[in-house]
Amino acid sequence: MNRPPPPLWKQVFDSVEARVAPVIDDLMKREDVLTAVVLAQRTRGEVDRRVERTSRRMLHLLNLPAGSDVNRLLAHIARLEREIGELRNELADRENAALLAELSARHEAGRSRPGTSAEQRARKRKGGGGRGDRPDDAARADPT
Amino acid sequence: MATDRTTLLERIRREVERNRVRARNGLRHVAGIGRVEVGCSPKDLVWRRDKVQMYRYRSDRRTVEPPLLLVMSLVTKPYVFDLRPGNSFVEALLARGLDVYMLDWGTPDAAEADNSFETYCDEYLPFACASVMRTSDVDELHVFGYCFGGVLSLIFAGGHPEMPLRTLSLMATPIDFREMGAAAAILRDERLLLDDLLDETGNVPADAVFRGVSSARVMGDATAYASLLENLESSEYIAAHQAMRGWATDHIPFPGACFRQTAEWLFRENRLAENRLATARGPIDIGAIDCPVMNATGTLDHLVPTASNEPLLDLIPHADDLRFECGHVGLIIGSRAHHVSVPQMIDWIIAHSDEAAT
Repeated sequence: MNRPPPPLWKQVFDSVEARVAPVIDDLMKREDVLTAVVLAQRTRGEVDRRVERTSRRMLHLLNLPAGSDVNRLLAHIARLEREIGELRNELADRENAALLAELSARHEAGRSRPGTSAEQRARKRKGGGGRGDRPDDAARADPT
Repeated sequence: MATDRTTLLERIRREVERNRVRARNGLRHVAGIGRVEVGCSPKDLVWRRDKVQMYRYRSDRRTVEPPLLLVMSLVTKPYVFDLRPGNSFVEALLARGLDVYMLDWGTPDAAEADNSFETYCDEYLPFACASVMRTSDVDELHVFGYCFGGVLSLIFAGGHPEMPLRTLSLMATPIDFREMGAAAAILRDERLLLDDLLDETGNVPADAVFRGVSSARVMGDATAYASLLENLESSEYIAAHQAMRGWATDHIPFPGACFRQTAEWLFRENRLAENRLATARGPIDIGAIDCPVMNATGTLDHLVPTASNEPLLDLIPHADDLRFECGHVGLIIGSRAHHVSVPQMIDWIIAHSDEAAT
C-alpha cells in the first residue's frame, strides 16, 4: 500500500531542512565558528574560576565552607570509595582473576609454539576440545 | 447531490476524529502520560564490579554457543540494545538461540573520575569476559561493541591476545577521530582546555556530552519533532519516538580521565587510526587481532561517518565489512534494522558459532 504524501507544511519543512541543514552543518565546522566556541568555553571557565575564588574568600571570611571545600571532601570520599571498592573487588572477583591468570599463562606458553591463538582455538574446536577444557573446570571438578 | 453531501460529511467527520486523536496524543505526549517502558526483556544480574553491572538475558532456547557480550558506549545507556518489545536487538539475538550478556557501565560520579582506558579495557572488560565464560561454562565468547563501546572492545581485543574471543563485532565504531565532525574539530583544537569541560566531580557532565553529540546534526531535533507532529495520530509512532528520543537524550557523564585520553590520544593524535595506541599495560596492536571481525556501519550515520570508520579495514584486513543504508541507531532500531541489518549481523555471528552442547 502506498503511503499518502506528507501534508503541505511537512513538504515545506522537508524542503527547507534539506537546504538549511547542510549549510548549518558546514557552518559548525568553520574555523571562525570553532574559534568562537572555544573562546566562549574559555571565557566561561575563566568567569567560573573568578566567581568561585571571590565567593570562596567571602565565605571563608564568615568561617563558612565554600563549594570548593565540599568538592575537596567529595574527592576525598570518592578516593576512599575506590579503595574500599578495590578490596571488595579483590575478594569478589577471585575466581575470575584466577581464570584470567590461567588464560595469560596459557597464552604465554603458547607463544613459543607456531600458529596464532585464534587458529589454535579453531583447531581445538575441530578436534572436539573446548567445553570442559579449562584448567579451572578440572580444578572445580576435583574436590581435593 | 445527496451522495456528495454524505461523502463530504463523512470526510469532515473523519478529519474531526483524526484531529481529536492528534490533539489527545499531543497532550498526552507533552504531559508525559503513558511513557513507554524500555529495556523490558527479563534478565539477571550475574556480575558487578564497582558501578559496572553485567546482566544475562533469560532464555529457554540457548541453542548456540559461545555466548555474546554486548558492550555499550561510555556516554549512553545500554538499554538501546533492548529498546522496546518488537524493536529490540536483544530479542532478535535470543530468538536465534544466542546466550546474551550485556554490560552496563553505570552512571559515573566522583569515584569514577579517574577511570581511564586501562580501567575499562584492562580491568572491567577482561573480568566481565571471565565472568561470562564461567557463568555459561564455556571457554570462548563473542564480543559485540557499539559506537565507543566498539572502541573499548577493539582496544581490549588488541591489548589482550590471551582472551579467547571467538569473534569481535564492531558496530558504528569510530577509528579516525579526525573525521568525526564539529565536536571533533573543537576537541582537536589544542586551545581548548580539557579541564574546562569537567565539572566538580571530575567528569564531563551529561548535558555537555549531549551538546557534543547533538552538534553532529544541528537540525536533528527539529526533524524528529516535525516527523512526530506529522504522525501524531499514530500511538505506535509516538511510543517509538518517545523510546528513541528518551534514549538519545539520556546521556551519562564521561569519566574525566578517559575523556582526557580520548581527546588527546584519539582526537588530537589520532593514535587508533594509526595503530600506535598504548595503555599502561603495554602497546595495543590492533593489527594483531586474529579472531574473525565484523565491522558494521550505516552509510547515513552523522555521528560516526563512514570516513571515520574506514581505516579499520586497513588495520584489520580480514574484517568483514557490512554496510547498511541507515543512520547510527538505525543499525539496530526500526523496521529496516528489523528486516535487513539485524538479521545480517546475527547471521554473521551464527556463522561463527557452534550448536550448543546439550
